[in-house]
Amino acid sequence: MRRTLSARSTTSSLLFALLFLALPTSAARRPRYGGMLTIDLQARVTSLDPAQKQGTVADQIVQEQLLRLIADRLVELGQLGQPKPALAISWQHNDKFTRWEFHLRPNVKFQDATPLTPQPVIDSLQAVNPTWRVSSANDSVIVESDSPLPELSCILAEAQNSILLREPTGEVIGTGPFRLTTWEPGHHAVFAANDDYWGGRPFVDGIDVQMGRTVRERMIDLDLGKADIADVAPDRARIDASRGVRISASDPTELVALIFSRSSTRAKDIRIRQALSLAIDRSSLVDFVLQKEGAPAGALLPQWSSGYEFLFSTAPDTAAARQITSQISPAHALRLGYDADDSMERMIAERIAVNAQAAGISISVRAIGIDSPGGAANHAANHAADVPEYDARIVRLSMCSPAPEVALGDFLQTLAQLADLDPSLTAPLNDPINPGQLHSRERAVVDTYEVIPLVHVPEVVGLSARVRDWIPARWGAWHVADIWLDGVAP
Amino acid sequence: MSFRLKMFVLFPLVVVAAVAIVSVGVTVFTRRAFERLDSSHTDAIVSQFQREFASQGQRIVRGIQDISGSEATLNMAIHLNARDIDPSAYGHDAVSVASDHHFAFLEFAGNDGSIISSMQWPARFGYKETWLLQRADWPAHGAFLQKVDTPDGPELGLIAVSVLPVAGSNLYTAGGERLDKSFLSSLSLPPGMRALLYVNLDANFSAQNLTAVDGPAPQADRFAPLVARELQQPGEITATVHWTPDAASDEVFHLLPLLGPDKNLLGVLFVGSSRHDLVLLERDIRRLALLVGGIALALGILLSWWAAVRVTRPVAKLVTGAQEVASGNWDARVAIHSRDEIGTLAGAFNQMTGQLAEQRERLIQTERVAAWRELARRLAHELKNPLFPLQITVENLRRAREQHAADFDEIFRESTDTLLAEIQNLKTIVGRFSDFAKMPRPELHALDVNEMVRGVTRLFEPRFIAPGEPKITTELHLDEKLPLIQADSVLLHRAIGNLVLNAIDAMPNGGTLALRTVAHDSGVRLEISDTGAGLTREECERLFTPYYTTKLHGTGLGLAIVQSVVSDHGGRISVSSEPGHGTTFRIDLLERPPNVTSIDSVSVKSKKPAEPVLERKV
Repeated sequence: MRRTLSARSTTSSLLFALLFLALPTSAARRPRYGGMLTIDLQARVTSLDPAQKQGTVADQIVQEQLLRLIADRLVELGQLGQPKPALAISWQHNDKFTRWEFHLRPNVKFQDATPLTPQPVIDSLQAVNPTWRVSSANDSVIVESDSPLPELSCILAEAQNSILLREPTGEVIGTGPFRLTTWEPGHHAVFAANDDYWGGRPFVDGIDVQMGRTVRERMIDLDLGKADIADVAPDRARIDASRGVRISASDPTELVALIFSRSSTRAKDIRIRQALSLAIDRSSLVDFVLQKEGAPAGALLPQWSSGYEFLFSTAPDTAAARQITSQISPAHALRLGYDADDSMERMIAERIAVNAQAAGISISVRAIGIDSPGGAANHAANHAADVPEYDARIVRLSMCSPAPEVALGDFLQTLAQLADLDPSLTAPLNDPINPGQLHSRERAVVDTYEVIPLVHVPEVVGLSARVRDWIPARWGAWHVADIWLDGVAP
Repeated sequence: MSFRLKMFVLFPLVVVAAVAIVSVGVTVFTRRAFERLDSSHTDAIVSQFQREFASQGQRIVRGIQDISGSEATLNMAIHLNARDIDPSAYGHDAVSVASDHHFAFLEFAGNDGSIISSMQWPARFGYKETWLLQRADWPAHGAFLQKVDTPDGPELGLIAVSVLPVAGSNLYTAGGERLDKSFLSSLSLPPGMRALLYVNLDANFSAQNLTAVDGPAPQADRFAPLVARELQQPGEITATVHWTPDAASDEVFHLLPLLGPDKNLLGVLFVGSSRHDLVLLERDIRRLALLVGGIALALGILLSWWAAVRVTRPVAKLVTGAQEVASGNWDARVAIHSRDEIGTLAGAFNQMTGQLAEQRERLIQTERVAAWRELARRLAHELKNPLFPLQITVENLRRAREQHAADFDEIFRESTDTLLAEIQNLKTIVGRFSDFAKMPRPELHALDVNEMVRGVTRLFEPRFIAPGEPKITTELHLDEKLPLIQADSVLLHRAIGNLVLNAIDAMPNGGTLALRTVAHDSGVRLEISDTGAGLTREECERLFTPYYTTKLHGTGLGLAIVQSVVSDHGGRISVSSEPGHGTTFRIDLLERPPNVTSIDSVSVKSKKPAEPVLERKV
């Protein structure tokens, strides 16, 4: 849910100018330059290079958010998810979607004054998409693939396809609205406004990013005005809002799901997976665990993205689950794992255990990760016994794109690695595909009960009072360049 | 066992017994003292636990009442009664409120018992705590033990419930403290004692549910039988757990059942008291007792030896003196000069032996006088009979010379014949006495007693069957396995002949003479029995006295000679008789007489005649 309004457009600027002339007393609402934007984050990003994958989904999301500060993509997505020009001002493709040609925006320079040419684009895209054939023709970049890439324009809008110069030192340089001035991996980063940004200089002079901040530290910093933006766990959003914190939540962009382990023998019977899916009260997860910041998930994609999620039932049916359970009488408790550092996953896992117990399924909840108490020991013990340390685990999958085809394709690609799904179900969505086909593919995946969608979760941030024009994309992408700070001397 | 040995053994035994009694007494006293101390400690800890339990309960009740009566809880209750019910807004309240009040458990539940917020298990929101609805008087119930469900399994809690009614609906606030090892840590335990808490939350005994102050109790399975007893019949019991075969590892546990509101067993408090110190002390006492006993035994042996020697030495002298007296040394004296009882006894002994010697001397003199008198009487009697005819004959001769000269020659011849006869008679009498005085020493040869008996019988056979003589029947019962003995056949033949003559004399009207020989371990026995009138006891006692006779014309030397012969052969003779039923003489002869050498011996020692043994049938 968005609670702030966009304020950076020509029309609005004119409107502001008129209002400034007519209503001198409203001058405080006029965007102004200057000020240092401070961001507190729980995540610890160790590199801004998208080729360096982060440890957790949260870290990955923050890496993409920070990457958007320093780098641009060839294509951006509009509020409705439609592609719009960025570093590429236009593009065309052949009929089979196997060859795309992007015309680069002229007069764009990297932050080290290197002009944007096709070669850095080729290097950037080829680095993260090795199956593509990326080349140039004049000032254009050509992307070719053996398989059709109907959603390439949306894919190129993903953060991982940012256009970067990679220095031998590992430093990355982009064309974005900010340039990196200080970088302490996992702890601290300082960005300065890129005065030569092709889209216009950002309002704020710079951004100070503190990473690895605890919930308490983030809230204190927000209260004391030491932070302007801080990420907020969805399940705390209501509490923080009740304390007067400005909360901004995107549409649900993250899927929290339960995935059964490939090597688990205790959940090989589809009936126990089905019974567990029927037993889970997803609404309660949203109401109590997420404090209403989210939506019950019956499918992989959220309703706002796919438009058909309502066709997937999310209502619990404990009686039916119990009936199934009575037929199979599971002998062993299922071991449900969760990320030891994620309190929301823990709460969801514990709630599932309670729901399952009511349906006659015994579940033992355990933390996964060497940082968790006993995690390493459990891992070692289970490794020694050559058994998985869990039969199922909670996973969080972030939508890489608002486009359902892209997001589902990304989900399926991830699930192919995590779940025991038939390869045909996780095959790439190469051909142009309509919503009906997407629904069928999702239905086929969900009906295996190897993956049980639980909830869709938004990205939530807390804002200080001086932050103005915070207008993130509905799928959570920050537009920091549009932010200006109230009360800052020009 | 000698008196000295008895005393020597008795003293150490008394010492050891005394040490043993003292050590056992000290051990028993110590054990009872320890048990009393343990009991008092256990009572104190149980009392302390109960006080802590009550104190915690009061604190919990106050805390829950405070929470239930707070503005926030009232707002919650009002909100939950509103039309647009959104209990999820309170989903985290229990955690923060419990943290503020330092409660391990806290739950808010709606009117139907549905959990609105749970501190211990937040994920159970929406589920019902039906037990909350089972009572209406929770505030009056105080704090109680309750099984509390948590994600990690059931736990035992000391819980209080408060009810907040708003517009006809109740908002339940239930919370409290976990009853676990931290609760145990509030107990101050003396050294050697410990407290364990078993939380009875599973259907069967679970070792994991038994905790000590510092964590899981080791060897918890050993407590399973005790818990089973509590489950069967809850109550305070005491039991001993033997951890190892070593008694020092024993531990006495007092069990205090912890009951829920429905009197169901929810937990058991074990108050354990180690027997280690007691056992070690008992061992020390035992070792000390052994040490003291050993030393005392050694000292006792030395002292008892010294005392026994000191005490028994005069006794031994007394014994020696008594033995000398018994062996005929009437002059034996005991040289003891102590002033104690032994000295008095020795004095009495010496006085007694002195008196005995004097009495014996007087007796000997008396007997000697009596013997001389008897001898004089017998001699007078024996000599008087021949002397009287001699006197008459001599007077007849004188009177015949004076009055009947013509017949004098005839009378002279007759008188001299008579004189010669009587003189011969006197010579015979004198010869008998001479023979008795000159009894020869036995000359031993191998002798067949049976053959000798047959020879004596054959010698008297004509007399048994002579006409005019009383009819005497002879019966011989001879043991054919009779060994040969070393004896003087002449003397023994003479002695047996005397006994046969006596028997003949005892049966003037005839009868049966029985001679019987029997072999025994050390020799042979010969019995000569008659069926005569028998003898009285007094006659039997004097029978072997020289010159004593029951016959009209006897010299009283026959049986004395028999006794002398038997005695010289190292044997002994006894008589048994019963008036009217005859008399039996019994002679026991040794196969080889002691101190009597055979004829080949270099010397023959004379032996004092053995005293005859008198038997009398009654």
